[in-house]
Amino acid sequence: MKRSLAFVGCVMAALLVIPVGPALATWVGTNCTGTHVDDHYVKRSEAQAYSAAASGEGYEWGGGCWNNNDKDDTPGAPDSSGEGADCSGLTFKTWEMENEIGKSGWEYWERLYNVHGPYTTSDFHSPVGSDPFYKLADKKVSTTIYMDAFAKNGHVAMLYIDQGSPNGTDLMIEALGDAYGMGKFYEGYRDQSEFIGVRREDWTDDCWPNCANASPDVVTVD
Amino acid sequence: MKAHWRAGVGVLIAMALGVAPSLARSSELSGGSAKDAARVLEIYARSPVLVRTGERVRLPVDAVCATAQGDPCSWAVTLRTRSGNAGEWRATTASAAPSLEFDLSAPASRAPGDDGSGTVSFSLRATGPRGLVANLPSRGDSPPLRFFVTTNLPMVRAPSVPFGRGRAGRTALFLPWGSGPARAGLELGRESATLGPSSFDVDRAGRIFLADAIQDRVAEFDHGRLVRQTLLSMGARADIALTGDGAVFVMDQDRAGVGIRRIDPRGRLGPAALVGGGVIGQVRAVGEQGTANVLPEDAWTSVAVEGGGALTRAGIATGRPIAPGRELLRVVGEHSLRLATVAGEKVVDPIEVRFGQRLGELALAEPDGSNGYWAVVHVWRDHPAADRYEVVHVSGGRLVGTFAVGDQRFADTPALARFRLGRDGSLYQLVTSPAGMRILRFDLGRES
Repeated sequence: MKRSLAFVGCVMAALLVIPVGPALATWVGTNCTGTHVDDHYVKRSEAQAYSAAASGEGYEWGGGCWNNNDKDDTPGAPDSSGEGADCSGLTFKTWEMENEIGKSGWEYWERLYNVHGPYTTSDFHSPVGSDPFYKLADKKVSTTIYMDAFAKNGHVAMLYIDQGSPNGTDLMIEALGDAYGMGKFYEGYRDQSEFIGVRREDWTDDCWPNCANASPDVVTVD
Repeated sequence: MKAHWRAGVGVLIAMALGVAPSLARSSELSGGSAKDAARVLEIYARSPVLVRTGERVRLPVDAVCATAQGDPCSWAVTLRTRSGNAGEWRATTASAAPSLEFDLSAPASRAPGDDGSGTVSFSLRATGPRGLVANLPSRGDSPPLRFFVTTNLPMVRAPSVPFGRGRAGRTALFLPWGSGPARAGLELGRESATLGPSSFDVDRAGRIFLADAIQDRVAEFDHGRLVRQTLLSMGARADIALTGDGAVFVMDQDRAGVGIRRIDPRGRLGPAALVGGGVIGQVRAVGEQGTANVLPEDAWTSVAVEGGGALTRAGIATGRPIAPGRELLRVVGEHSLRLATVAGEKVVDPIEVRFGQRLGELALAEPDGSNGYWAVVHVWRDHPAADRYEVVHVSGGRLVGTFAVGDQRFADTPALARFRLGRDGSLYQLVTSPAGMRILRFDLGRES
């Protein structure tokens, strides 16, 4: 399995160390008081809303805690247990994955609960059978759905909405980097061969529990 | 419903663990408070831009409604449309639905006039809880969005060029990664994008202007030598465009929206002007004005320079302004590219180019100065993985020339910032490798 054990080790070590000492003057130690609960029937629209509120927050390598106040609370302070997630951490929390490699099911992580999750971009780029996500056979507009992701070794970003732009780019929600935090940008990831399409398994339909009376997808204008 | 469910489970878990949840935590999980008010309401639509009479026309529309806690909220959207410039406005309302599309085939069929071209104007309004509203176009003083319909849209096929075959460009500028005037800034991706220069442009003398976002500068290079730089803080997706007199427009986005600034020909940075509340698209120059494309509206807002360097809005156009009274239309699909010019509200010189391969982004579309176009499209395949660009020159309703150029990327350069048609008439490409960034020049007088 292509697991980045070293990275996961670092993340786990950090997560074990940081909460122990609330006296540590880190942003995470001071602010990350959230919790998490089991979840079921998770819809793409819920993941989309979760990520929408995260847009504008900071970036932190190996991090996973933010406060939805529309700004980076720890700008210019990389690797300081500061605010934000990295790209795989944002995907992990948005996709409500369990914090154990290969474990299926759903876990809702409050934004102020600091967790990165066990998956790195290399995992998203090369899913194995036990992962709660899988590689899409195709990356066409007609075969992807919002909240699917595009991943390469080093970066992963989620498709924010289904439609692209007339330029052929897609609106992605992503943790772009230390200097730019988490945000929405039109990107060409879909059409770069180094990126694969990845889908979280077992989403519940957005129309549930009223799918029999769901609004029509196509509305004709006279 | 889910918030309440979460609250119950949260409390149960807390009780089971013998832990009293903090007030903040229980408040967050229980919902129903002011914190649950919708905080985000966004609306997105992808304009058809240019359609052929008789085609099925769909307008995909998405809205995103989220509370401060990141829970979804309900929305509805109202579309107003008008065929031509004198027809009546019609309103159609739809409830939230994934993959919502409006079928505009009927309004499109009524749009063309006697000259064979016409427009369908439209605007969108999303409504969420507690009176939250989002509009496209986003500014109340903006004209409605529109797409063009034409009875005459000739189609040509681009030849299929095998992967691996392409023209090599000449190096016009190479900068190794690093800090300092003769290097280009790089932020290596660590579970994030790898970020380098975000944009560039080339003047009539072949001087290269580089948006070196990591080093917070726009730097001017002449034959590989730094001749001037202007310091300014920029985001990783900032775009730049050069005017004929050597001024540079810099487009960037922050939490306030998308803004544009101007660096005058002497290198002095002027004040910023807000051009939209969406997501950064691209900036170009026409004459001495800058024109900014903000998504998802896909409208072009031109800005003019006032005395003292202040920028004021000088108009909004559907297509990209390319000359007084003329706009460039472009839209790319999975296998086709459409280009046209709007002149006097009429579609002129339209063309559709079809490709056998899958297309990615339209990396460049420019008028060729004689009723034709230069375009660069990203062509790619999955198995085996390969990327390249196809350069096409179309004019007079036919394909004049085409050639392929390779792709080399180490940094995640913005998709629409990899190519520029220099004011010297050459095509330029920004490529990156582990060693540094390189700008390649292609002589367009030698089409295949």
